[in-house]
Amino acid sequence: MKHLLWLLALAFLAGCNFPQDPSGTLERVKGGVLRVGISENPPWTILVDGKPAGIEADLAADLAAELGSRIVWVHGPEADLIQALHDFDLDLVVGGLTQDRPWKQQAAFTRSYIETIGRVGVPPGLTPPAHIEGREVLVRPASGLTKALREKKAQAIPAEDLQGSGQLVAAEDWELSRWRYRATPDELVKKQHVLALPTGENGWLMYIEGFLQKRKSVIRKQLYPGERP
Amino acid sequence: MKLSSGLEFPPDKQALLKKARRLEWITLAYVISATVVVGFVLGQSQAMKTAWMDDLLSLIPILVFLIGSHISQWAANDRFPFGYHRVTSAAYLISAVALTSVGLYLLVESAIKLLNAERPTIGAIHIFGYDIWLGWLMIPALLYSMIPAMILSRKKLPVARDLYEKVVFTDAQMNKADWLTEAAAIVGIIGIGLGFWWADATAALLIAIDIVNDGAKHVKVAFLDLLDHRPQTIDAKHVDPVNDRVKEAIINLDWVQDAQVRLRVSGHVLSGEAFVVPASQSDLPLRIEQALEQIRALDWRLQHFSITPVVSLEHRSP
Repeated sequence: MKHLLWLLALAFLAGCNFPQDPSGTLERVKGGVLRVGISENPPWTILVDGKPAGIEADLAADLAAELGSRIVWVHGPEADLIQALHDFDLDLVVGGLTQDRPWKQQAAFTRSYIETIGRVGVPPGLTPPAHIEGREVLVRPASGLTKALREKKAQAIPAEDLQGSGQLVAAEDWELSRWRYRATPDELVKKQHVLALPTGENGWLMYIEGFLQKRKSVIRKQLYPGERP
Repeated sequence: MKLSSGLEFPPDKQALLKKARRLEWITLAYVISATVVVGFVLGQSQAMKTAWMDDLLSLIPILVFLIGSHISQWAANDRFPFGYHRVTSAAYLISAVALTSVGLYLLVESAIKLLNAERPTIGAIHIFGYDIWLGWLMIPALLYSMIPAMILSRKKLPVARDLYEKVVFTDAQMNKADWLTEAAAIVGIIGIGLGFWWADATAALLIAIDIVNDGAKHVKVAFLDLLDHRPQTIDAKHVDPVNDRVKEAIINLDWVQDAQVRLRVSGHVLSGEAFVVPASQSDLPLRIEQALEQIRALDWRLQHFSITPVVSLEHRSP
């Protein structure tokens, strides 16, 4: 019991630096280099003339500014970036990642900083139907919304151009909001958005989560500019 | 004389039995609450997961006792002429094997995590507007699952001893010393906080080893009982003195020339027989009945004892 108390005291001595990173990430990036992996996924990450932009790219840039560190952007497909995190070759990965991804063991994820919902919407001027059962709904094939549409017994029609169609479409709520489409009450898929970092770097994780907490409302305004508070 | 006495416990033991059951019901409610509390703050810590499984597994001996002590009191009938005394031993063995198996699984899982250098990620939990490191919540949760258990175990030991109730006794003895494993889990969490990623899996490994060790003890106790081992004291450290007392009482009977006694455990009660070479053949039934009453008065557990007159002890198997 006495030894336990000594350990607890030691923990407090480590003080505000608790918990610490086994690989010392937080200490290293402060005033140093922040290696950020980025995979393109609008609006979270967009490459404009090869330069990173978008909601999560901006978050990373602000994070670096707060830490006083210089960002090194590493481009690549998501899978490779996650592997690099696993090998401790990167400090952070952004790319519109969501919580339901299959690589839970490879990397650590922050808690969700925003939730987006896939919905069905109608062009401005039209009234959203009460049910979508049996109705034709246009949807992008890789959007992840097709299965949910089928489960709700709607007819999913694959299409790439949704906004110009003038029909019932399925898209993310923030997209519908930007096109000024009105949504039905159906919730197709909920996505929890997260950032990825190396496993076990708990101090680094705590810092980023604190940072995200402060920025939550700003991020919401960026994504849903017309939303009433 | 009836084939079997039916009631397992004499009146004074009934009161103790009620007390034991009450203590175990309290323990059951407490363990369930501790499992819920620890379950909330598990996170990705292997040590927490192992400690949580340890809590869950401790439900097994409790249920074995509560259900078994009820059934073991049922009266004997045609289908079960020896009564239901051994239901506890059977259930005890099954659950001890289950306990040990889960312990082995956790041991292997923790060892693999350690060998693969898997680092547990433990972040913040958002409570009342503050971000608190989950590890800070894990420690009080572990203390909650540890301290009441130790207190309850100390209360159960004397009761179990007087009831010759091995399930409760063995379980209470092991829980009394559980502070070691819970302390290991706490040290593991602090270790992670200090940046030692291996502290978690190491603590988990130690806890799993303890579970397997405990499970093995339970298996041994249950197994030996079912193999009709000679009765031992409840802590299994010494031969039970009842063996010698019965032998002496029989040998000292004036009508007995020579005798051989064997006893075994049936749940809470002891059963057995004496093979007796009588000095004369007169009045044997009466003499045997009187002797049996004398034997049963020696110890409340001696409920299934019989005396068999034989011509000689020479061809008896030991």
